[in-house]
Amino acid sequence: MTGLRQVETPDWRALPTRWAEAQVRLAAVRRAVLSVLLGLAILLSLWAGALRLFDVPAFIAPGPAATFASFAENRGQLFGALGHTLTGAGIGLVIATVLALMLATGFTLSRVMSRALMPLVIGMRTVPVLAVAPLLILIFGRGQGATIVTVVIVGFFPIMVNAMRGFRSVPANVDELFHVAGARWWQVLWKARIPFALPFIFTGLRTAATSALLSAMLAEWLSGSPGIGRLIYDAYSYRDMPLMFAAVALSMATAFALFAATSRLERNLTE
Amino acid sequence: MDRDRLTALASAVWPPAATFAALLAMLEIASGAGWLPITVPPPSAVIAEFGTSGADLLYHVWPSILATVAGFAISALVAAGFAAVGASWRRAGGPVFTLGVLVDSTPLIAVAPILVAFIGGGMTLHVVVAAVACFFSILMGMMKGFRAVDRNSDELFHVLAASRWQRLVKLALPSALPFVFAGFKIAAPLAVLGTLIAEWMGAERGVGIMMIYAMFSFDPPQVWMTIVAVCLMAIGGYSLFAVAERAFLGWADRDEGRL
Repeated sequence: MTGLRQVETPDWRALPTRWAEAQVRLAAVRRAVLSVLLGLAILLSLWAGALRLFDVPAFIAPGPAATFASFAENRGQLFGALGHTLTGAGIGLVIATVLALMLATGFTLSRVMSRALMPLVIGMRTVPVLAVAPLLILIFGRGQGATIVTVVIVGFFPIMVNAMRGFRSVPANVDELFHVAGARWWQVLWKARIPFALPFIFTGLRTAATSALLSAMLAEWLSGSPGIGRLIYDAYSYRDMPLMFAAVALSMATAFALFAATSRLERNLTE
Repeated sequence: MDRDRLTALASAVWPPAATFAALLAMLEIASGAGWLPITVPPPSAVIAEFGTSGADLLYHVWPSILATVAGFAISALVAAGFAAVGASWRRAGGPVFTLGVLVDSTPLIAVAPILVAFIGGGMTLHVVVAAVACFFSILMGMMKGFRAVDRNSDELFHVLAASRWQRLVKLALPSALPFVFAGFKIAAPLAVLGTLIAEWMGAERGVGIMMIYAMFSFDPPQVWMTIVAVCLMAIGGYSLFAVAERAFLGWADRDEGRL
């Protein structure tokens, strides 16, 4: 009855060590890699099987082997073109982000500006912005410039709208606390609005990053700037189907990688 | 009450309308003073272009509208099938969603040449690309909608011994519709964009090919006119669903259905 009560203490030897944690993480990575490889294998065998089954001639659609051979042969050209496209898309995204954040800040600070311009910005979202690509090529010429401006215009809206939602998501309590403490508008902006808006801004960035690649490729397709979009079109006009499929596969892989990387970044930064 | 709403609407509408008018006026003045490059014509020239080549525009816009509507309808049917499978069979939900993400993150411009290789150019291609372009938004709306059944109402229907049919018509459909409409509203402009991209690759008739010809023959007012026409098409599709939503779902809290 009066015996000492045993206190349950965790045995430190049973706690997971760094080594064990690393093992668990490694296993997760291995599982992810395995599932991706399995998906790829299924996709490739479906591709080859469908070609065999429907007896598609090689000048319409090459099999995985021919595509891979072309990929290995032209990898310098392929990665050069991809680099050109990614440079344009990257510069465009940076400009779009800066512009969008500046305008969103202006809108949260000034009611007049927000009431006059915000409905127009919302209205622009219902319009397919990419449709102006031919116009941009007309204005900015057939080089990297038109690509960059296309990416800016397409990427601007998701970032800006999400940033606005983020700036407005500051809880009323926090707002009042800042007011009571006599904070200046820039203190409110820097210490409350921007931290609360970060998850929203990253959501916008993810949307913008995935559409940036598409819009850059589209602009090149129309303008003839030497990126991967142009490479696909050229390979198609020369009926070099293995090269075209290799370029398509590379651009799709890049798009998936971008999507995965930005979603991962968003998760890591917002949790 | 009604007048209050009208004045509220008016006070919300006039600032952006005034800004828009001011922007147009500034463009007009700047171009009159010769400050703008030749690629940016004054708004009056674009309006005049509507008058001179309006018949051509109608000739080209009609097949584009047809392709967009057909693509949208096919996409909606296919998405409804996938969403129904995903909703009624829990384990299929994950793979259906993954399929949607895959379709969505594939650059449309990269798939289009492959589609051309298989189905050739022409109207079929335009319809298929339009369908692919708007698939993901429709699928997302429907999948979210089918899962949106309120738990309490579900139990009430169970307690009242509702039949499967009654559940579908009186519970599942009404709670899904706000989400479905939200998806449709996002998808309509995307379908227009899909048609446009497909037409850029080649077409006999279509607003996209008219735009490309105008670009290559360096006719800025005509490029601007086709762009305005495409924007009107997209806005038309969006407002169609917005009006239908308001007519059918006046009772629903419209914030609820936001994706």
